[in-house]
Order: sequence, then structure tokens, then C-alpha cells
Amino acid sequence: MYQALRKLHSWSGLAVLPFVLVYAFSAARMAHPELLAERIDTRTFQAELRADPSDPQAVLRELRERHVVRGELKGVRRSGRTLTLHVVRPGTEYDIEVTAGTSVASVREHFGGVVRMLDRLHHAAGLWHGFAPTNVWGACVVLASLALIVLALSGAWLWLQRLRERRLGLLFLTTSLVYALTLLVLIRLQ
Amino acid sequence: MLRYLQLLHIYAGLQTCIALLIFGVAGLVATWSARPGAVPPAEHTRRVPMRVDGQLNDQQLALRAWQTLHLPLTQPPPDFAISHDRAGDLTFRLYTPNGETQVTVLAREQALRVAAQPADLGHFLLSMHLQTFGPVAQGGSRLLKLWALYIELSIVALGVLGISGLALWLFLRRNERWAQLALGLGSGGFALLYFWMR
Repeated sequence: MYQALRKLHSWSGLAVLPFVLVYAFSAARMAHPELLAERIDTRTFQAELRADPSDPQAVLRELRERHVVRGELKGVRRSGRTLTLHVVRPGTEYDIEVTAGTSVASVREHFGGVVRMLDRLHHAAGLWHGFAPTNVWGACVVLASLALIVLALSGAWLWLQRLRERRLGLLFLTTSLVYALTLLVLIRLQ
Repeated sequence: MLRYLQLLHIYAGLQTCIALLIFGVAGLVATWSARPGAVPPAEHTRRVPMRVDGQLNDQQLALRAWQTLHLPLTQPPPDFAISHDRAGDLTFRLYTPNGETQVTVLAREQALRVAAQPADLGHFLLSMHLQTFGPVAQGGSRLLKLWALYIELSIVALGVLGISGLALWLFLRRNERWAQLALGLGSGGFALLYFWMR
């Protein structure tokens, strides 16, 4: 039993290690954004368009097929004769403007640096996005979440079997349980 | 050295095991909440009488409304959160881990409309996992500040656990085939996914 759980703990921990480190890094950075600035490069360019400029799905489909943009449609705005699409993938966003009667799309791309990318990955969850890589990431989020639960429970059980660390460990565990659970209950009851 | 690394890994894990469970649950709740057709929690509306003074500006009126309600765990609404609805009434939203509350000042009726959307246990834990001393936090009370301390320590511990766990494996059991495979799959998968999304 001990060996089986040790392997489960070690293997699941190693499998989700990059995800856990990304979460720890981006959480620390979000808590203290003043420590590390994020960079976003913005560029504007024009793309020729054959699709009907009043049909947002057709516009997006064409721009995707021609690799002008990559991501999922997050918003559509109509203002007079102008249609604006907001397309997003983790770390990168596009604002696409198309005016009726023209065959040109004006694309403004906001390309985030690594820090921005990790920040956006921290917020990406769900399996129902219109962009396949985000769905694969969402599946990894589920696996990493399950692994964290497995790691916490198996880690506590493995510690229980180790006599040398039991006394001081009990102190750490009790302090953590009393502190965290008391606060959770008190905040929930407010 | 190895012994100290082991102790660090064990004690950091024990100290933060509740946070690790909450982080895990938060990931699952965030995934489930993003499903199509997910309905927001039901809204409970009530009216609270309040004397509305025409001399007050928007910020002062919002502050008066917040003081009248005295909702636990909240802090005064920041300027950017204060707006007017279609009827022209002043309105603002308050967030706590227990849910969201939309407050509208009904000047003509000398009352507040308070629409509360209580969070279920899953969303409560999701919200608790993001309570830090940072700008996203809703830390208006001493309880939330004490909790933020625990979460911030746990974020550091998460990094420490990851790095010390990897070091322990490298020192003690780096020849385990299945462990090598797990690390390779995880790291390779992450790298592929990262560049696919880039």
C-alpha cells in the first residue's frame, strides 16, 4: 500500500509539475503585479476579405482559414456600418473592424509576452471553447486539479506512515487545519 | 542536505494541504462553471429604506448606501464600480466570497433595492482561492486579510513543493521508468500546448 501510494504521489506530481509551477508563478505575479510588469505588443494591419462583411462568423472563418487570426470569437459589436469582432486566445487578442461595402478588414493584434501568456493560462478553464488548444488546456486543468487533490491526500497519508516526522508534522498539520478551517467557517457564516 | 529537502517537502505540504485541496476544487469548479448553458445563481431581492439626500454626489450616496446596508466582508464601492442604470438610478455591485450583491439607490422611493446572488459552496471555494493581498482580492475585512496571508504562503509553498519534489526524485529515484515517462509526458505536453496556443 505504501509503495503504491508513493508511486501515485510521485508520478502524478511529476506529470503535472509544469502546470503547478505555472500556476504558482502566475498566482504570485497576480497577487503582486508591481513586481513584474507584463508586456503587450500591439500592431495594426489590414487583410483583404471576400466574405460578407455583415456576417461575423463568415468573416472570422475566412480570417482563420487564411491564418490571419487564431482564437475564438468573444464578442461582436455593430456600430452603424461597422462590425467589430473581438477574438481571443490565451495571451493574444484581436479587434477586427469591417465596414459594410468594403473588402478590407482592419485587424489590431495585442500580442502578450510570456508573463501575460502565463497570466491568461491561469484564467483559462472549460472544455467548450471555440479554439481547440484552449479546450486541450481545459482538459489539462481538470487533470492538474484532480492531481492536486490526489497529491494533498496521498501526501498526508504517506507522512502518517513516517514515524520520524510525525510529531513536528502533526504540529504543522494541526496549525494549518485549525487556522484554515476556522477562517473558512467564519467567512462562510458572514 | 537531502534530509532537509525531505523535511521541507513534508512540512510545506502539511502546512498547505487545505489550500492544495481548495486549489484543486477551484480548478474543477472553474471548469464546470464555463460549460454552455450554466445558469447564474438565483437572485433574492429585498428593499431597505434609506433617506436619500439630494445634496450628495454619486460617491457620497454610494458610501451612504453601503453604510446603511452594512454587508459583512464588503468594503466601500470604488469610484469605477459606481454607475447609473437605464432608469437613471445610481447602482453598484459588491463582491464577497459568499456572493455578489447589486445595490440600487431608488431616490424617489427613498429606498435601496438589494439584489443578492449567494454563492454555492463550490463558488465560495473558487472565490476563496483568489483571495490575496493583490488587486483582485475582496479583502475588506480582517478575516479576509488573515485568509489572504494563508493563500499567499500557500502559493509560495506550491512552488517550493514542486521544486523540492522534483529535486527529491532526481536525488532518490530518477531511474524509475514510469516516473520518467510521467515527467516527460507532462513537460512535453505542456511545451507543445504552449507553442500551439502561441
